[in-house]
Amino acid sequence: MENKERINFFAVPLIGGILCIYAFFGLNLLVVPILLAENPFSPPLIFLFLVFGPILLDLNLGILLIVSAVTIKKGKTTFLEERGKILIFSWVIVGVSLGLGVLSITWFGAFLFFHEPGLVGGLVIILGDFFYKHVNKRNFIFGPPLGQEGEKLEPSPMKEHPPITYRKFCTNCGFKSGKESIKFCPKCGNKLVSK
Amino acid sequence: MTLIFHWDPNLTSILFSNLWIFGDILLILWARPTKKRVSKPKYTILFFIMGIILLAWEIISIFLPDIDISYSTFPDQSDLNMFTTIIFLYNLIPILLHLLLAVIFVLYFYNISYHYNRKSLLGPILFLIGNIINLCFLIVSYSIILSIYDFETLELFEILEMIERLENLIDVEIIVNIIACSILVVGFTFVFIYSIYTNNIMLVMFCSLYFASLLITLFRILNNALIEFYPG
Repeated sequence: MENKERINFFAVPLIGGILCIYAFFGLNLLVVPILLAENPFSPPLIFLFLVFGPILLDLNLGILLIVSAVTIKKGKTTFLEERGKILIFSWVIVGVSLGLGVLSITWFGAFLFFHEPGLVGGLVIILGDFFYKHVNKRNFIFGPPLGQEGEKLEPSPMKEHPPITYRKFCTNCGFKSGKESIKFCPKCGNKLVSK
Repeated sequence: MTLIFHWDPNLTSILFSNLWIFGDILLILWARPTKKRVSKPKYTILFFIMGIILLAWEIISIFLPDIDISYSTFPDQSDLNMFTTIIFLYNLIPILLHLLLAVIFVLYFYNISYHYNRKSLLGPILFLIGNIINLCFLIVSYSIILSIYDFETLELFEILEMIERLENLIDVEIIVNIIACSILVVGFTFVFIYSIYTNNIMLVMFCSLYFASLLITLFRILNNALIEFYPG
């Protein structure tokens, strides 16, 4: 039960991929006019390249992450097969966006916004994978792992369950209790028996 | 001096609020009270109501107008008070909503897993503490600002002193925001772990989106601090 794979761990890569795509759709519209307004006659091509390269990379890797999440959902692959690819993609995204952040501190004096969703999406995937590994252990912060759907929980071989007797019938007055088991008869005080 | 209300949505803000609307819909889908296999329906109904409120606020906040002041004449006391109260409400409502969400998380965790493991309340309580710090500091700072704008009885040098005090207030606000937001992030990581532990798709997606939003706010606050303390 401990190291069993959880089949539907596709949610975190899906959200990470969506966040990586948002870097392209939302934020390049914010950055390019600023760059063009600062240098209207000679927009430095290397700036545009350094802004658009990572955003296009984010878009590409985000689409690949979403595709792999959908294939995990459909059951064509499992998470353990896709895990290496997903982790490599998210580390690449995080590394590129952190590098861009350091560069933008030197250029603009601030940690810029346009690579932020990609950075956050990559971080969420890496943290989710890290937590996913640790959640399957016993004595975790929320207790032992939960039983999954369709999973048979076997009783532990170390312990044997004590025999449970439901005391129901009175031999003296004929009292019969319902589902609950009482030790003594409420009418005459005689000890109840199970049969 | 007059107040100007103008509707100025840009594409970025609309796309981002669509992302948070997606997250709130996921919370609603998770907490549908019609599901019968949920063991504690009382608290999931609370989550359902909270999701509907969050969704309504996100949709309303797209269409809320921005507010501005035109300094054509000398600022009037009542208009300035109105301006600060509207901005205060704009800032207050999301913090109150997140505080309510934190309270519901604390109740849920107390009823689900506190009796098995007492460490499990650590995350929701940290989340609650961060929200309470944010709320208290918001109220304190706006009360200071409202007490400062008393121009009719002040001399010019006193107004300059007040402006200096306001600048100090902004510095303190940034530091308090960094502390509170990092507490929020640390607290919500435990909730994120819990969502992966329960292995429910909708809850995992909602928690990862909310965690991402908290990380984005943390990065923006750090960015503001960088601009404020190390300009150029």
